[in-house]
Amino acid sequence: MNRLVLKITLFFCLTAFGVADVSAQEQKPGEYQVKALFLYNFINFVDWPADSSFYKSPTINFCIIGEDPFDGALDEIRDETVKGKTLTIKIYRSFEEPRGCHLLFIPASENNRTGQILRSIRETGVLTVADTEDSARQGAIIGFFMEHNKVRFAVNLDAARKARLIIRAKLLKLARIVKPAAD
Amino acid sequence: MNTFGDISIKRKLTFIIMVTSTVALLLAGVAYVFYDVLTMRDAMVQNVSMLSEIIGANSTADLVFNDQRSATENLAKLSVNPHIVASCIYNRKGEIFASYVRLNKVGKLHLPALHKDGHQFETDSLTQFKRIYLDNKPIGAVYLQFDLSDLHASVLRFVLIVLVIVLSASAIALLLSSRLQKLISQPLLGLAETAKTIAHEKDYSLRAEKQSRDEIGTLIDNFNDMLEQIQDRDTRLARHSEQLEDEVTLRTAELKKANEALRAQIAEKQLIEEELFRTRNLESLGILAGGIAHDFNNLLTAILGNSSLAKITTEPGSKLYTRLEEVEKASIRARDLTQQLLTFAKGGAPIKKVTSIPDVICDSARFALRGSNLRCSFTIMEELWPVEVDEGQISQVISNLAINADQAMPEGGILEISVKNVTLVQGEIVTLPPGRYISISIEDRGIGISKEHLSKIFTPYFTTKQKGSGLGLATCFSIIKKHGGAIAVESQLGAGTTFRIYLPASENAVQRIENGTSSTIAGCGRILIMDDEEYVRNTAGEMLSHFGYQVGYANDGAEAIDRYIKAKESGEPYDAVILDLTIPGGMGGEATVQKLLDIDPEVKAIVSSGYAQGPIMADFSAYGFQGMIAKPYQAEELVRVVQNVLNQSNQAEK
Repeated sequence: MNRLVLKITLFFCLTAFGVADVSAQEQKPGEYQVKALFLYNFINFVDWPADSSFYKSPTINFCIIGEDPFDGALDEIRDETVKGKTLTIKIYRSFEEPRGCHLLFIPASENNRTGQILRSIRETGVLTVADTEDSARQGAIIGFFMEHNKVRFAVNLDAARKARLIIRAKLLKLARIVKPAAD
Repeated sequence: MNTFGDISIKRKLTFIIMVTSTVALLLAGVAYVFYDVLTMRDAMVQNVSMLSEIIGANSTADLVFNDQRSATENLAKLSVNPHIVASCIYNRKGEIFASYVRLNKVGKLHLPALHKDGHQFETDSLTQFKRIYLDNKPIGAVYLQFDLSDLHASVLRFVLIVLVIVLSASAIALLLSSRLQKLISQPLLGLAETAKTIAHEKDYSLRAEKQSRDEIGTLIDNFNDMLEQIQDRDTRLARHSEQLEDEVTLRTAELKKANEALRAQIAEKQLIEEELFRTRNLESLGILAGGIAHDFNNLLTAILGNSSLAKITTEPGSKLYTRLEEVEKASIRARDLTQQLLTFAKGGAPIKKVTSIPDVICDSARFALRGSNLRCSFTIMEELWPVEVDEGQISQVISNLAINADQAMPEGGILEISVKNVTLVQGEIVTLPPGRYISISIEDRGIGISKEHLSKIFTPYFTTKQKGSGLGLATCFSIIKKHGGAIAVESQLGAGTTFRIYLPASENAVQRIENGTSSTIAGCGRILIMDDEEYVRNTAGEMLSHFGYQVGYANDGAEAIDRYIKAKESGEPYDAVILDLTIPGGMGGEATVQKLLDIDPEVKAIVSSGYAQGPIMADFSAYGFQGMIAKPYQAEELVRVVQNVLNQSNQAEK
């Protein structure tokens, strides 16, 4: 009888701890929260070309094409300052619309049109980040992928060179370097 | 308590040097160690800070992209530095993101929770927290723990080295100071030794040896100077005690001299007092003479006047004429006697004028010695200074002295008279002030005067002669005195006597006054005679009438003025008035002449008095008179004066 009460109490206690643990888990950022932060942090490890509008603009224009997969995770980085500029987030439905973007995110939903989107960008100096590693192979400069339940990223140095962007070694050290797919 | 004070200066110096150098060395060593430890710590802090900075910078991407593996790999590279014991990276939330613990310390170390930035020294380690920034935003922190055992070891080694240095340096300092202290202690000990020797042996001729030119050298110099002074003082003291006796003798001699001078002064004062006494004697005699002179002269005027008038009317050569001549002679002698007495009187002031003294002296001496077998020998200096004298009085003095000499040399001989200029200095003749004088010396080779008499010869009524009046030399004394001069006498019994007269020289030159030669021509004119004595009036009146003058009389001043006015108004004025100076109970000559001058400024007044030496008689013109006649007078004398006055007025009228 006593032992039973002890066990119940212990269970509850453990459950309470478990709940606490769950809430801690919840506090641990989700995939898109991490991706949002990564996107924000990429800016610190990339150097835009000297003639880019990046240096003239008071804002850093963060464009998203298609459907927003972040589900409010962008709020954390919206209007944050980085490199002395305010990060503004613009979401475009059509790939033809975006202009003046410094950072372009291609969600997984646009995976099929990645090549098309990338081709449509005439300007140089746009850091293109895609949601898949494959996109990087297709020509996006950075592509996210998951490994051991952790968000990681691949860098297409060729694409970066074409876009005249310089990726810092610190970033490269953490990235998986991918070669463009042979067309 | 006073142990330090008791030890020798050598030890003191060594001790001071040792204490000073050891303390200085120790302080320097401690400061050096301290400074070095500080420097080492600073370097270490800087090192750790720099290291954590590098770790932080290298971990930015790892942190923001959440790559713990990369961060851990990064930290593992710290193993190359054996002093780093542990390190870790905290993420933004302060959780440990990656860590590194040195192999030998694994399990022994506990990584601390995130702390604010900064370093901290703990017992055997230095810890450092440092925030990691990306784009100026904190993204995490670094922790580094640095092992200090090495530092401690090196500090200990350092301290040991310093101690060894200090000890060896002190040993060398001891060696050097024990040698070098002699530089200071030696001269001082030498000085002390000298002082001790001097104190023991009382030998102040010893000197301390000077070895250097510093303060000790100066001290030794001063010490030697002091010794010099003491020695000098000793010598002087000895000399002084020797000299003291000499000085006492000298002072005694001076005292004696002063005493003598005092005695001389007393003697001199006595001399002056004697002279004063003599002068007073003469003065009282003079007062007596003055009292009777007035009446006496009036009487003599009558006698002399009448006898001279009688002579005129008598045939010369007859018996009566001879008798009258005898009367006249006696009257003249009586007049001279009165005159002599009057010289003592205060009123007998000499009627002084600048005179050629040799003439007066020669004439008087020759006149006095007429018919004597005594001959005069004159020695008179050329360019004698002039003197202001009353000729009559000086003549009297010379006559008296000449007569005395004649009587002293009954067998005759030579009377030597010499006159010269002398300049007297203070005290040469006690009663005279210094200055220019002429000296008259009259020297005989007579019987001389005894010493006891010598001091009395100028006293009135003192005489050694059977027929002497005792007034001769007293008169001389009085006259010379009134001239501001002095008379002295030197004599030796059987050898002779010398009288020496000093008369003050005058600044004025000699004026020769030519006396108008008067003739006894009969006069004409109206004369008013004022005199209180009827017989004088009548005698004078008869004298003048005899010579052709018309005469009027007045008893006193008031009457004379009255008669003078009346005569003037009646158209027959008086040509001259003869006024007696002294009218008892009435207006005298002095006041009368003033009144007459008011009435008639051209009045011719003649003053007449028995006091021939009075101030008015001496200087009659200053009182308004034209002439003077001293009583008693002979008829011719009176007529000459009256004629002179009338002639003067006549000349003035022309």
